[in-house]
Amino acid sequence: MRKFTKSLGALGLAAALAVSVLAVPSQAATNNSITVAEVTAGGGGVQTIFSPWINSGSISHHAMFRALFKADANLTSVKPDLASGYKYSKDGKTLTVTLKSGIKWSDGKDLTVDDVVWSMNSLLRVAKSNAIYVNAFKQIVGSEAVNGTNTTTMSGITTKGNDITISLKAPVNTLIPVLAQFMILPKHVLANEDILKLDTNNYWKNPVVLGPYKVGTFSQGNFITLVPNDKYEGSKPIIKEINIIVSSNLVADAKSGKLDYFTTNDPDTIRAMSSVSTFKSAPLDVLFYRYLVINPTGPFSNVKAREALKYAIDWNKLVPAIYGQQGKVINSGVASGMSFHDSSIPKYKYDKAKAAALLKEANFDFSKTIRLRTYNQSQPAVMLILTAVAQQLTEIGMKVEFLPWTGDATTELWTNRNYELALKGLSAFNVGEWFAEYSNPATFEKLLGAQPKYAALNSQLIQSTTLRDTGKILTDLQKLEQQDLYKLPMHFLKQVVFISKNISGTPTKWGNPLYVYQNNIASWSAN
Amino acid sequence: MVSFLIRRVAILVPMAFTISALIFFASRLSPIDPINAMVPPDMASDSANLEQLREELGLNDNIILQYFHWLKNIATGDFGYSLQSGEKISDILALRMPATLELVLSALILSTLLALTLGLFAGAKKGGVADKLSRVLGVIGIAIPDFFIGLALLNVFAFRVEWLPTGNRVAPGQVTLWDRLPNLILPVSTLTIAMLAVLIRYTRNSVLDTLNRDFVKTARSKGVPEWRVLYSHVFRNSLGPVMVLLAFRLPLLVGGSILVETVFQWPGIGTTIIAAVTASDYPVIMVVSMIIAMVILVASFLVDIIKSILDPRVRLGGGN
Repeated sequence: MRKFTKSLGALGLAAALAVSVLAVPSQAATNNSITVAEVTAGGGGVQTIFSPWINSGSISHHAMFRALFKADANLTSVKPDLASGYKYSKDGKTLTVTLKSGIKWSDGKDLTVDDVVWSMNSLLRVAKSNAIYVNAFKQIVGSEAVNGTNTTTMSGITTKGNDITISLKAPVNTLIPVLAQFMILPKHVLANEDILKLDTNNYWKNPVVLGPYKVGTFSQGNFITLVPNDKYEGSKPIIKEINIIVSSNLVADAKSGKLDYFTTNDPDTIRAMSSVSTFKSAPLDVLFYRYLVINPTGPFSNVKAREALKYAIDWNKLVPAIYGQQGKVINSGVASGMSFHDSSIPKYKYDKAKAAALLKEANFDFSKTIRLRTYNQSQPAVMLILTAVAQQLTEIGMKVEFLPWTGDATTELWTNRNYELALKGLSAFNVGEWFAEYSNPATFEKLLGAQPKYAALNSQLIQSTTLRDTGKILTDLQKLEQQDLYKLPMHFLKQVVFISKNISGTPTKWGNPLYVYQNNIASWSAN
Repeated sequence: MVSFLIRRVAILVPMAFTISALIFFASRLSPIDPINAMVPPDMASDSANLEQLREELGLNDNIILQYFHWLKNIATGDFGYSLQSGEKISDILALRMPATLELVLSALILSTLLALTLGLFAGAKKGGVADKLSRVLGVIGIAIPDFFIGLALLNVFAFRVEWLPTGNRVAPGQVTLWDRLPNLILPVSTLTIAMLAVLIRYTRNSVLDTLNRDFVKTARSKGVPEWRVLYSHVFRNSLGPVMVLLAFRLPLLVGGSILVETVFQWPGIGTTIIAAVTASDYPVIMVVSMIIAMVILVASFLVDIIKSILDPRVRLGGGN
């Protein structure tokens, strides 16, 4: 027995020694490399670089892709990037952009106006893209003729030398900020590819790019390493390698020095990171809405019943309790404190008696079970807040069934519609996107029917050229929204960026991590 | 023996067809529209583009036609394309399979060696230290789910003492197998502990059963050394049930361990299945399901062969 115990002890010691020898040393950021964490679908490690025409804003997008303009952190003010300048006609219906000369792709080919024109035409041919580009480009003359079944080009885009002239059906006040997000892709590489399925093309494994970095190593399922692009005409990047990984535990990896940068809106991670002294953080005021979609058929067909929901839930208590400083309660798409907020909108303070009275007025059918649904079942904070919502609704006499979706969320939301209340999120480029949802035929109009009033106001909003007009239209939209109450706004959710204290040269103001802006990545350095 | 093999193969073929039909039609009966899963409505650039995509992917064809088309493609090695990533499914498998094989084969070999050794000693010295240890390990391994074992190991070795990585198979800068070894330790240990438990108990019980056989008593009474009794008579005759269990573990080499791969962000077949189910990527689901089903059929066929070799009564129709 003694001999056996001794042997076991020796074996254990040897195992511990072996493990410590093999232990991974932490890798603090240096000018040789930094490591950033990004979310990716597909399980395991990094699968692909996402097409920036769908979502941009990741470090790989900032580092590799460029647009005609570069936005500031607020996404509203722009500076020329690939373009040297732009000019609008007096009526706002013609935009002329001048492309810079001498810019090269990472494979040595010149950037030309053909790349810009091809990119803009192709955006309307891909199956999947971000709505901000589609909504803007569909205002270009000739856009209705372009789709995935043909190779027609928009007649409203013409070129002469380095000038690209864009003719619009009506002024589009978001076109320049949108063009600051729209990454130009190489025509000479992609013109013969299946554009319909561009987002799944092999191009994304090692894209030909214009930015300060390009792909050095693509270890699919594991990591991507970006290295300086020697064809980039700007200042050479200081950091020699940017490693992009998927982290299964951001806090642990940050603590052990295996990670130097990431963004998150998960309150548990944000709380845990307060104990990691080697990192600095910055909250990001982003337009990330959380709200409940109300199915207006069934128990909530009467607007009074929908109004009752506004008084039935104590958001001012729930949101700070669960999200702390990260969440801000909102009662409208244009929240209080934002420009053009309609101060006549009621504050909707928690009032169970008023909610009950409104339900009575609406002849609410209390025998019906209210199905409350979410697709964020993997987020504990979401499950907690919705559990509290369900509880508060039962306190005013409703029968509530709270469950996550079992099938595909978008099919459930817009096609099957087997719910009364459903949680939805929107990371909006601007406030207009919140209201544009109402007149989207692929989503809200399937639920609500055609919304001509919203469609007309949304159209006016993107065409308005003065702040006064914009203010008036936003006020009208808010009043319309208060008449119908199809959405129950809950809160904004701040994103937080965490970055190692070893890294300097980063922007003084960080922007929305789902969009690109001037983040000086080529100037980042690590001590 | 030949007629026995022919009989077994004759059953395999119709079973394979039945399974393929079940897999195909079951996945197509799902109410989830794969186009909606690929392109959320708020990201659809144009309804005409979505219709074009539906046409290109063959989703408008008659379902029976789709089945035979799919079957023909599978038979010729064309597994189709992932709806989610657009990659060839054969490329996805070629990329992910080595990761799963690395993990599962390591765990299989380690667990088998440990289980056979411990199980033999446990059975040979009933009530001894090895027996007690094997029984404790057996209970722990069976009672505690493998993902929990993984999380516990992660918590101690990756988060608290920070000796080992928190996940992934390859980190930047890791080139050789020696570089990557730390990444393997925790997932392989987790899977080994989970696999060890059942195998130890099987081996121990099989050894105990064999020890009571007449031929063992005869060998001992003839003065054969104990080590030779254990090795030549007991161990080899105890392997039958153990081999059956090992053969039924072969599908793991293909299907991976979904939970362990998810806990450790291991880019193998397991995480591929999870991602495919989440994204309603049914071409991937169907191919992986089909492969796993075929491997199980082959494993079951191999078990029959092994049993018939070990016990001739089986192929003559007279054995258990």
